[in-house]
Amino acid sequence: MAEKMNINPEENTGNQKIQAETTRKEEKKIIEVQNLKTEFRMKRRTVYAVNGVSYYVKAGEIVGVVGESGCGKSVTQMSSLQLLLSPPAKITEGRVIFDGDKDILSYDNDGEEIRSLRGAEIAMIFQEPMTSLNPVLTIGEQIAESVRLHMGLDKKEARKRVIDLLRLVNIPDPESRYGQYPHEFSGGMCQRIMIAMAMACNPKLLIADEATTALDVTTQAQILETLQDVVKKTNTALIIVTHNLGIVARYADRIYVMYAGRVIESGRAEDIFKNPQHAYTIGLLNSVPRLDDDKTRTLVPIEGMPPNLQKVSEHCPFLPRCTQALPECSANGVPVIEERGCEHFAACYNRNLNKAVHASKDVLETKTVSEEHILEIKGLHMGFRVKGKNYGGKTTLKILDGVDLYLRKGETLGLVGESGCGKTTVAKCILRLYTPTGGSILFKGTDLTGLREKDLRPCRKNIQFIFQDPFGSLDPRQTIGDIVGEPLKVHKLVSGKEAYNNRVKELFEMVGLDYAMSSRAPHELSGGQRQRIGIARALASEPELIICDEPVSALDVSVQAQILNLLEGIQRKTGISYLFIAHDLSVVRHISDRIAVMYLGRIVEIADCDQLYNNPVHPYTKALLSAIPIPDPEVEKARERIPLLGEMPSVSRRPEGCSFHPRCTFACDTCSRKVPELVECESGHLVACPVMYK
Amino acid sequence: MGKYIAKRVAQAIVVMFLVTIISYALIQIMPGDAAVIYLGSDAADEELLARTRAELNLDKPFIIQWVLWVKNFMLGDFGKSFHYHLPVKDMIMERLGITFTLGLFALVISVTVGILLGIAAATHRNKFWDNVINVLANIGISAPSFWISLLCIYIFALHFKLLPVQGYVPPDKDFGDAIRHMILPCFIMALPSIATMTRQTRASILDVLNEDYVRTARSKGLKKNVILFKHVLKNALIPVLTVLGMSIASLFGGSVMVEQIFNIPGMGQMVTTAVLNRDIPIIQAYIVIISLVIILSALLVDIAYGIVDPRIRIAKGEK
Repeated sequence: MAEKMNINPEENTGNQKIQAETTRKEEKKIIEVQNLKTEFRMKRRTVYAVNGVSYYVKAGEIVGVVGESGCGKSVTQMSSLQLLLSPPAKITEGRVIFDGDKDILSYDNDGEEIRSLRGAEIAMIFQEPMTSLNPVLTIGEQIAESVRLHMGLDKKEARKRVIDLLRLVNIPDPESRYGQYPHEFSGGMCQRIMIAMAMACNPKLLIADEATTALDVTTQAQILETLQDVVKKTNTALIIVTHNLGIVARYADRIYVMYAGRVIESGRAEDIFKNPQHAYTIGLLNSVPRLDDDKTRTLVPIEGMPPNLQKVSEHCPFLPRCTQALPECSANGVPVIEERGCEHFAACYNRNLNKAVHASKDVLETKTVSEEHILEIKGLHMGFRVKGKNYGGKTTLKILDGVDLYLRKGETLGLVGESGCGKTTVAKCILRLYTPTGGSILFKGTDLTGLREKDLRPCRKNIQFIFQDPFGSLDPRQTIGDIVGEPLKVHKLVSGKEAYNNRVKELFEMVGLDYAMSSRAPHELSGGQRQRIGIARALASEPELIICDEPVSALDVSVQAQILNLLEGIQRKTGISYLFIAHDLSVVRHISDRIAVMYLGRIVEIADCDQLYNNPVHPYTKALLSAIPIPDPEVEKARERIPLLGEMPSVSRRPEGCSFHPRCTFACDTCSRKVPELVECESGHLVACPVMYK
Repeated sequence: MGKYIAKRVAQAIVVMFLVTIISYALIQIMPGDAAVIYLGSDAADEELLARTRAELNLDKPFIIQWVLWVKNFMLGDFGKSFHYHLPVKDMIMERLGITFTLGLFALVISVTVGILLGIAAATHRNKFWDNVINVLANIGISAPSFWISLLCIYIFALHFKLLPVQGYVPPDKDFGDAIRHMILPCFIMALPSIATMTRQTRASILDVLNEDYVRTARSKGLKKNVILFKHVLKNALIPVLTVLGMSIASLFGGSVMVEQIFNIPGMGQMVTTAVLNRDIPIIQAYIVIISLVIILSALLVDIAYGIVDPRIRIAKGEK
């Protein structure tokens, strides 16, 4: 770690001020949290969110905190800075030793002493970059106020420093963007601004609380690279709070795994992934899809849900969901965290855990894909008429610019790309929620584009949709039974009350829900259960094609695996076809037979699943794959990283020729002139890049 | 910003145009012949009646009448009062000044007091002062202002003899006395708007306090007051501005009654008499002037939105 501290003086002439003059003692604990307990005291109940958490972070170290949502990861971090609003939050026990001597929990909430630490010594980056910046203040002022407050610089000096900081986090043209407001930046840019703000006063500790969760994978990689870079250059300690195991595998030196408001395992990243010592850690690793997976690997979800923490558990809190529990687990109290190796601690009674991460699918149950094309999309164009810059003038915003796809009966086609590339627009065109402006959509030989609403109805029964947000897409006033049964009534698929009830019951069973729940309202269900309802509703009319628009991206990893397995199981049983839209290439890999990669309204590469992952041809596909971290530190170290330059432009400024060429490292003259066509480079593998494949 | 303002001004002109049509149509809608009302007992004279009709343009088609009326109005000729047979312009001008002075003071009181009380309530949420302010605000909204007026007159004027019971003194005559005469009526005019402003300010501050960017501000180590006045208030004032726009309209509506109670020779009092006398030109002039004031204040509120909220300024204006 010594070389990380010695900053080469020639390298940092431009950003000398930002790269702190830190020559701190090696191995010094920057923050040490001891037995922290936080609870939320509400009117009728108390939630014990943090139950005795201890951790430390050393200078220059990157520490990952992982766990499912509701495990107290964020609350722990917010508690240490006393950022939680009190009431209802109350820190009941614990010490937070910062920088050697001070117990910062003893300070007054919002008092002078804690304020002089916040932003100056400990800085936080939050999850939602768009809402974490004040919409009515310029971004320059928002960073500068921190600099002026803690570093005592005057307005002019502060401005200069802010511009340096913006340059450090790769905001192009910082002088002119200083005076702009948050809504003039993209999500990724806003997060860079948040990082600049956090780094503004050379903090000793930086806390990134789900800082990249809301962003695209490519932006996520860019942001985390920037963070890692800055942190290592300035010897700052960094805590990355995330539910993404891949991120901690790629970036973290040490990892804390949290469950039910406790640290259940901690250790060096390699040890945690190679030799996990807690059943929960193993469960997480088993449920996460990996980019380097064998197609035959089965995801093993952790059944059940994390506890709601309304009472402090008497036994191991993971016991109700644990598949490797021993008799002593239910006989004894909460296991104590014990040393299991060098810097490796775990709180699990079972010392002989089964760590087989790679379980294989039952190979006998293969699915049948016929050669019949159930869906064929040719030259699909979709544009919106929007108001131009001038009064009265209208321009057409081309969202889709000639999309060609086909989907065989019984197969799953994955459609991937960054947000804004037009994936969902394709889906909406197929459903005719949008009327395409050009091209054809053949569903079992019928062109949907020209059909009138009346003629469309019978087709609608055969094409169903699963939405991304399981919370917003179910009517809160209907019972879940009515939601599932509605398509049966609309399409008059059953006769009589009894047949209706039987069919609804059958659907509930298909998606693994208890029919006894059918009179509940959606808000009584968890995210995973709601998504099951969404699937049951889609299945009700016995469709031949289901379009799944990011069906698992709003769910926790363990639940994600449940839903993916469910979708796969249904396909094997019914021979249904899926168009699976997602931005996460590791999820798509698990479920898809073929994958299409989209960029700015065009398909750039389409291939069989294995071909695409083993032999990606288009530079964009390569960059996308490279951006996704694999939850295995050893694999991560050996991986070549292909950085993706800049951000995807808006469709209103689609570059001439190949839309990807401004971000492409292989681009040549012809790329900026001619739109490349999809060319078959091997059987079933089409790519639109004349440079990589002629 | 320029384009944004231009658009708002264009909208205001359209609304104003509609207001003039409707208010001129009064003369047609009112039962009876306007010329007969104008002449009163002299209407028996057929020749005089015909001459008056021509003078008032009543013999021409409606559209022409309206065009001529608008033209005269813009030239400052508001017609003659049916009842007093005096030019409406002269009658209105001095009274207009009085009502505007009252209204302006009431507005300033309601904005400052309303926002300050709202801030106080929000920062002491669910504590003693918040409860007190909430109770007062509810009284302010629900209690009829004539009752509050009588109560205030009894307490402050009759019992403690701190303020005059009624009347109006021009400020250029005796400034101190003028202020003393204005305190009670202005306060009573402002009361409903104070109450709504307080409630709106409190609610929107509490909303904004839950926003992520307030958490960001706290994590920067800013002082409570900096967070409140710099980060929270500017965001919280956006919905308050909407309420302010509506308050201006109700302030002028309220002036009609307050001027009666306190015997203030303002527009409100004059228009009350005009309605009773069916003195149409005065009513028309009043409607047009008050509409103009309300439309202008709405315009100012819209422009203020643009100043406070950069999203409006940049999205809807030139960049």
